[in-house]
Amino acid sequence: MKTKTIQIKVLRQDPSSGQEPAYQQYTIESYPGMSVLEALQTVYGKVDSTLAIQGYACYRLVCSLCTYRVNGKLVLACRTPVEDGMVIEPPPKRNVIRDLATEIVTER
Amino acid sequence: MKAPTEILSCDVLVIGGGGAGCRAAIEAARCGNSVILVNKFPIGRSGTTITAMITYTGTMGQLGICPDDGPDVLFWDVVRGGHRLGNQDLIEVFCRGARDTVLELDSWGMKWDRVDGKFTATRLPGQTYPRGNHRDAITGMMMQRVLCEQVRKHENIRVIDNLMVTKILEDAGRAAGAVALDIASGRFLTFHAGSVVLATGGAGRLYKVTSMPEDARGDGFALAYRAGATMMDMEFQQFYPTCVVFPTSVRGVMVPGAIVYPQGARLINSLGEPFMHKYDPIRKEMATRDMMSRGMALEIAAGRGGTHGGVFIDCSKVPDLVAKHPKSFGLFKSIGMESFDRIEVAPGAHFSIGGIQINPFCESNVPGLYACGEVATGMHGANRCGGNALAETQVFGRIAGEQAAAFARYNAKTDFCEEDVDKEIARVRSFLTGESKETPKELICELQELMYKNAGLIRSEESLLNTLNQLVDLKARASDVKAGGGEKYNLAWIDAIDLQNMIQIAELICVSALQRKESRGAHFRLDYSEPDDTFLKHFCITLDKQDGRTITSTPVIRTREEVES
Ligand SMILES: Cc1cc2nc3c(=O)[nH]c(=O)nc-3n(C[C@H](O)[C@H](O)[C@H](O)COP(=O)(O)OP(=O)(O)OC[C@H]3O[C@@H](n4cnc5c(N)ncnc54)[C@H](O)[C@@H]3O)c2cc1C
Ligand code: FES
Repeated sequence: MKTKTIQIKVLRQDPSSGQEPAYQQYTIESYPGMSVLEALQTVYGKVDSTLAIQGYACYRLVCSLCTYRVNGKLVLACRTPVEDGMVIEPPPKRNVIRDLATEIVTER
Repeated sequence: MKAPTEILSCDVLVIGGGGAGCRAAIEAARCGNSVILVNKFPIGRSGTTITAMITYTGTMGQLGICPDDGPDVLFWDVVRGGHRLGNQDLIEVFCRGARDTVLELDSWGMKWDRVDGKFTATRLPGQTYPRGNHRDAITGMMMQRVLCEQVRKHENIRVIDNLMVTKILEDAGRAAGAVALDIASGRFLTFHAGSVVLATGGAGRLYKVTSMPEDARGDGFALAYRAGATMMDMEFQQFYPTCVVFPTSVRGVMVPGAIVYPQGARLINSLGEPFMHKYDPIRKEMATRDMMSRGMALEIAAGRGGTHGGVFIDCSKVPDLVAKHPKSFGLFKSIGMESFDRIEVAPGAHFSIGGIQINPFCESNVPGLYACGEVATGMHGANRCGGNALAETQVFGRIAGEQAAAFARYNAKTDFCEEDVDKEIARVRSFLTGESKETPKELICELQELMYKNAGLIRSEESLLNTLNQLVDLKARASDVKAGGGEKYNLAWIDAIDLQNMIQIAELICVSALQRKESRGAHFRLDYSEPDDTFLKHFCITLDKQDGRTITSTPVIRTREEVES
């Protein structure tokens, strides 16, 4: 399997801390077929377990909880191949809990 | 320091907001009770129900295209499909209730697929008639949507998302509430409830390859077991034969074998040879899920698998894959899979058959504690037939809600011991402070590898004892695991808590699987490869006072004389 070392940038924040959001760069091994979701899970699992992403994933285009802003565009992370230099942010207009974990408001 | 905790009071507490939990909450609310429905992640966007694509065992008789079908035909299908191990009192309830739940969901706006006013239905292996109702290819998602709408309509249901129950509180052996962690804030909530319904779904994520979503970690099994509930048939874990193993970003996504084989797809080993004829000479690739999975696992174990532990499915001859299957082949294409001629697939954990023992009132043996949906067990026996799980959530969700409501009404609330709350919060918080060499996620992956390799599809006394041994070591390491990252939405903290539960469930599976010295349905033992009817009984495990396990066996409940087989 051909692997490649890539870097991705993730916007991190904790709104209750009073600190400004800041980008953090992570280096991971990627391979052809790796999704942005898997890349983020790899960061959490192998590089920095303090990174917060949505805790649930269906991995198959059902839940849309993996919606993030990648290079400025809203995408489903489970279907988007990861690329070197990608910038990943929470979707706009959502309340951020921490990092990429946001409040999902189901109207009720 | 005493952690801050808020106490919320209700008649019925429903834990888990998938198909079963929503239905239970609706029924309890209809009975006039105050209900709190909690879910670990955002409700309607998590759990397993939303991932179910097609079939819902429903129409029987005049409503559909097979007027000869009815509850009695379905009864024997479920009995035989479960290799005669299903409890027939539950099967009776299921068969009589399934059809009405289709109509009920319809009245709530489900809009089932129909032709000329009649329900259309798919026929699945093991079902005598076509009775798998559907709604496009998003049956589960639509079901969850209409259920959430109904939940919203009841003012006496309060829904709380991102709330993870970590303990069921008891008073003198009766369920009295629960302790839960608010994942977003890291704060604890305590529930004081008249009765508790567990609807937390299955535990496929105990295995490295699984078609189940990330939250199918089996919390409810561990919660119930620690509260004194009897766990039954834990050795039975259904696998779906063709789940992708590589690329790992789509690991577990199902390739719909039964649809693509008739269109020219082939299942081959690493030498390029078809192999299913060796394991099921007549049905070959169209064999039932348990036989397909067993054949694939044996082929892989014989060393004729690929580098990622699977065999291959060649779909190059099948037309229009991407357009017809956007959520499998479409997804594969979008992450960069260029051709579909060699997709590596292996059996993935798909449905937890075993679980909390219930009677037809959805009562566990702990007074005030009810269970429904995949976390409960009894009707499927040794193997679940396709389509029955979704209908099960509705048939038994309703009963659980109604019975839990009655229990709360007729029994005065008892008080749990505050010390138990403090102890639980201290236990959960202990993972937050300090440092550990290994992360919770690493240990979860290790557990998943271990269970998949040794206690999954192919088992033997040796592999099971070996797994139990390794679990002792893993448990010791897991108890020391730490989750830096603070209190707010700390995934490592959730993983640390889940890990303890997962190891406990893994032990129950192995212990139960050791007892069953035969092969039946989803349970296959290399050292006892044939069915043996002296094992037509259930194994039950309870936690005794000394923290030890008590294993007993109990007969299969039969309500009808078996006619011709
Ligand atoms: C890919 C796939 C396809 C399937 N297709 C079909 C099909 O076509 N037909 C069919 O009949 N069956 C199908 N099944 C099986 C069926 O979907 C499930 O058995 C059923 O939906 C389970 O419903 P449930 O309500 O019991 O659990 P779930 O829907 O899983 O809901 C449980 C909920 O409890 C929550 N929870 C868990 N732990 C806690 C906790 N500690 N505190 C609070 N909340 C918690 C979870 O987050 C989850 O939201 C399929 C399964 C899979 C994996
Ligand atoms: S993980 Fe569910 S849609 Fe992407």
